[in-house]
Amino acid sequence: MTLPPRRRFSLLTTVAPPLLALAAGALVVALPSSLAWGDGTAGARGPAMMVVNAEIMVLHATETPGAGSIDPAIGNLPQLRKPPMSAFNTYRLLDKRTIPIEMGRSATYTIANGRVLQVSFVEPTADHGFHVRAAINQPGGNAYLKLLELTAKANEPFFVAGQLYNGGTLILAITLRR
Amino acid sequence: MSLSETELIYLMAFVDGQVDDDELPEVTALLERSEEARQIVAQHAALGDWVRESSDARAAAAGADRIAAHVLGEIDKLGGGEVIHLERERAKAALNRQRVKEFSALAAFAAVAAAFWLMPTRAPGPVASLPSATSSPRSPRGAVTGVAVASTAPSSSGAATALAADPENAGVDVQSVESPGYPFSIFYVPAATGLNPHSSSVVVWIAE
Repeated sequence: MTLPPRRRFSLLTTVAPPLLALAAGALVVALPSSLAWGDGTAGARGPAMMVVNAEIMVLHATETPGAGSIDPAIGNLPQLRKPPMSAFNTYRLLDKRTIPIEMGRSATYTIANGRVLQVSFVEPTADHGFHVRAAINQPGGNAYLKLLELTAKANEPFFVAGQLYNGGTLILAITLRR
Repeated sequence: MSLSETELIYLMAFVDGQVDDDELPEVTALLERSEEARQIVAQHAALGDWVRESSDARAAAAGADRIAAHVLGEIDKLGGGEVIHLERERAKAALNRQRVKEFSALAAFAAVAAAFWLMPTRAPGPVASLPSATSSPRSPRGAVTGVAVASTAPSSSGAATALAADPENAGVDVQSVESPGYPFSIFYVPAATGLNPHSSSVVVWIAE
């Protein structure tokens, strides 16, 4: 049987040009965002006066006989029941403060033991988090924490623990909020 | 029985219509001269008729004779059958295979081009770069996501105890810790709360 005459169909001549154009378009769209990943400052193009609210809770952790307790004023912090903080069974809230920090600026907070916590808001991160630095100094002495640099998502607390205080240990729970 | 085995075979073949033309005169002559041969043919013919009729009856009872009509009816409902020319179909199949090869080549080219453009720019986030940092908390990266394997008591070692934190899910990601004179440990703890239950929070434990 002889095939009827038909036009030769080839992707290289018909479909390839639109596909290549589509791919090129996708690259053009993706390139700026990919460059933004690399420089890590994409989020810095936001409002000039960006502020993060640093919620600081000072917890006093102790080991007491029995089941212990967690101060209800602390709120829901399941990390307290997980290692390493589960080494203590009693937590009391000594102080709770929310400090607004402008981007590029620092704020200080005096801890119960006299040391000074300094928190700096470096910049927002590309994933809508915050790049911050923290330090804990003591008057007339060496820095207890010279530098802690981290990125944190909003409402995810991080903890700085270990300072001895009043028969227990101080734990700073710092949560960055918008 | 006076008939030979060969004659019986010829008679059964005659009943079944399987006798060749050159053998037919011999069988016919046998039937003319032998009453026994005629009786055998008659019996076999009757038996064959009964077998066929019984078979047809069973097939009819089972609806076998309506299968073809049913199939053709369904085909008609779908708009009728289409006559397929095998040569044309084979040619189309070959053309389709060629198209697949061409498309695969284009897809591979596009993937390579995308990787070329995207990979160099997808750098990791800020890197810990303190010249006097006493640890590199981001390493090692464990395979377990956000699970602390730390001891229940805070470590007093000077080296950071950085545990697995999936960067994609890390709620908090430590980049650098510097605490001269005080040993410290870093614990990644599953948050188990908040918007992302798989994210982690961090405990920096500085011993005094």
